[in-house]
Amino acid sequence: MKNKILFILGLVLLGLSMGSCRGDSDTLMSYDHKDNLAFKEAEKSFAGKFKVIWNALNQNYALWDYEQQNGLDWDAVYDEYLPQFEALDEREKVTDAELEDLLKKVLNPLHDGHMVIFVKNHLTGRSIRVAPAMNRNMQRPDFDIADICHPTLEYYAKIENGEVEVTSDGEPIYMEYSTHVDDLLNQFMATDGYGLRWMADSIASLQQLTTPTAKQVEILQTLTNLYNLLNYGVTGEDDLKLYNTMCERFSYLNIPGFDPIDPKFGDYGVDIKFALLKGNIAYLYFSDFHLTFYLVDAVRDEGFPNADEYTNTHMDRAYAVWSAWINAIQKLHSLGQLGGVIIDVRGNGGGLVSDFQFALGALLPRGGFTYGDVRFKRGTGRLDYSPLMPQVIGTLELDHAIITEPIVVLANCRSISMAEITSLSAKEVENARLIGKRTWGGLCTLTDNEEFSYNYSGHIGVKDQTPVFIYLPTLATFTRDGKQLEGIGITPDIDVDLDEDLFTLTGKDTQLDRALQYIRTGN
Amino acid sequence: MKKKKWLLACAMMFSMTAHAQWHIGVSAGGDYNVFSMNNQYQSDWTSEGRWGGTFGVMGQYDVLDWLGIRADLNWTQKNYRRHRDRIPIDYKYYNHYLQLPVMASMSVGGTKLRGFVNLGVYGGYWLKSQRDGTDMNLFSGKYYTFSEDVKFNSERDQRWDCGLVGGVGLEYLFAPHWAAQLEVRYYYSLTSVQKQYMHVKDYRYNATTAIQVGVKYGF
Repeated sequence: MKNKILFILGLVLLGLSMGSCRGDSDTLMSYDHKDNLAFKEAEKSFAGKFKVIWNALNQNYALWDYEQQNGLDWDAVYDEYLPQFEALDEREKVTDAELEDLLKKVLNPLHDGHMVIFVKNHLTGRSIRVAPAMNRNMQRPDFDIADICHPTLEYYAKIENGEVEVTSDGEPIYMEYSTHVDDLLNQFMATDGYGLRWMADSIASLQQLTTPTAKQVEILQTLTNLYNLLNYGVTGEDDLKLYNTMCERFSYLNIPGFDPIDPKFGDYGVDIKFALLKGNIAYLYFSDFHLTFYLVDAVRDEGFPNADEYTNTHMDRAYAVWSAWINAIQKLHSLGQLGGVIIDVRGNGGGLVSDFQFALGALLPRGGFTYGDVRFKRGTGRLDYSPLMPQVIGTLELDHAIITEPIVVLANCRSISMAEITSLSAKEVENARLIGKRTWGGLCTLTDNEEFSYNYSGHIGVKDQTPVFIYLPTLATFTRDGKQLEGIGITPDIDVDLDEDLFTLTGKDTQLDRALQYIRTGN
Repeated sequence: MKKKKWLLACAMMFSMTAHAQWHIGVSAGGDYNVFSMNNQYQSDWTSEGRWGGTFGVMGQYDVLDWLGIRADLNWTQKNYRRHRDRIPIDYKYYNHYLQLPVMASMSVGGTKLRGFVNLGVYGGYWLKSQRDGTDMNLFSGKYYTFSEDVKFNSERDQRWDCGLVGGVGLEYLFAPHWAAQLEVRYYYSLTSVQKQYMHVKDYRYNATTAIQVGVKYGF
């Protein structure tokens, strides 16, 4: 009996000795906010910055299996480049160009179309920006032309060119409005009888007075100084501050069109165009997916908390363009006279998901549209993912007719994010076609870091606050048939180049012409 | 210190005299698996154990009247649940393993009723994995219920499993040559279900407690 007990104890001891053979996992940091501990090494070390980039992407990035299929070995990247970043730490001087060059080698192979990385060179104090998708798309032969040629209806809106429908008064059915800051400033500077030109006219008139009163002399001097200050060409954020300051200071001059411009238009401006083209084809172009700010009161109030009468006027004018488009469609469809619809998202860099319902979604049934599937990160492991979940995007919930006439979405190399979701959706709608050029390759959706802890993925760091900041999507997007097109883009049903010379010289748009041909002929 | 334990244990195992009897049998039961991993900063994840099933066949060769070598071949589920509080994510995993525990089987007691202890090691193979549950698409705001096979990833998933196994139980000789067994058995996996495929070490383990009944026939 004693021997039996000893024997059993012996086996138990043997087992216990092996029980400590389990491994301990490494301890990981979260990089979603300004955590001094997480970013400590990165503040003063290039190797530290690299480790943050490598580990944070390892934990947060949602496309690792896709990258692996494309030949990327992320562990091999660590082995190859950590020594190179460590070597930078041995030096007293590292230029921004050197750092940028090394970062590009690490990051350019990644396919995400939205990702942008900002790394602070602690030796120079400057921030280096690396955008792998931009670097990739710049190599495309159609990149430059997409970058330069923004859709314009200048040619098509002219009655003599025979492309636009006219009202009973003989006016072209065409509207456009832009709330981009540059365009609003340009309105101030380049509109006859308005803003800067009104000032020039007033100065000329006052200078012609032979016996001006003291008040007139004072006004002349003030106007002249103000004109000289603003005449060099105000553009951009800094100039907007100057413009608004002068606007407030000199409001007593009652200069027509010299009204404050809400800085929020810098974030949420949109250029929107509508034309009813020959054959009752309703054309809509919009430069950004910001329509929700203009069309939904609650979102407008949130986006423009300091909106005054001038802001509301601009927003109402942009809204009026969209309203004219949707009303034309609904009315012509009800009369059986609608020829087709063109939604132009060329050069559109994306924006709000909710905008879908106001463009392609306004032509589809209520209840949402499933354009594909999405997958989220569900753990710190590189390959920890959720199941694929249908991505349902909202369609217009207001009562509207479903459009069965031909629909064309126009896209190009600079159609990004929501513009690509719209393009992808067009390929899934039976009576829609995608025409133009292959899109950018950025379909994965983003949110801000307030929502990081919902999915434990998304942006890394805080812009301008942490030594590393990565603008990063939260999920991976799949087409309905299970493909990932990140870094590739959506291929059009009909591939058409834009004739740059023809466009620049005459305004004739070969891509728009092809869309019109398709709608009119079915070919 | 570890080496001394090894030597002591091995020495104790070799004091034996000759005795031989073969047994074959079947067993079945339920098992409760606990999955452990480091959640890191994702602190609202919780792993919970879940019940599953086990059944198999056994063979035993008695070297002494109180000591035998036993080997089982069983199908055992190692199920578990992972869920989060912050958003309604709830995953239930069903993992099917084929296992081969090889144990020293030691028994004490009378002719009819005996107690036994099994101690040894096991090897196994992860046959299949499924999961079902709910998730939430934050962008659409919609909950999603799913049930799917989990595709094995050869880079990530460790299909081979091995570890320590031990059990205690009772055996009742209810007829000549026939005995019924009731056993509580514990499988302690020493193999992470995930290969160390990243520079970052990330170990994930199963530990399974089975309660099983069996019948065996002694030749």
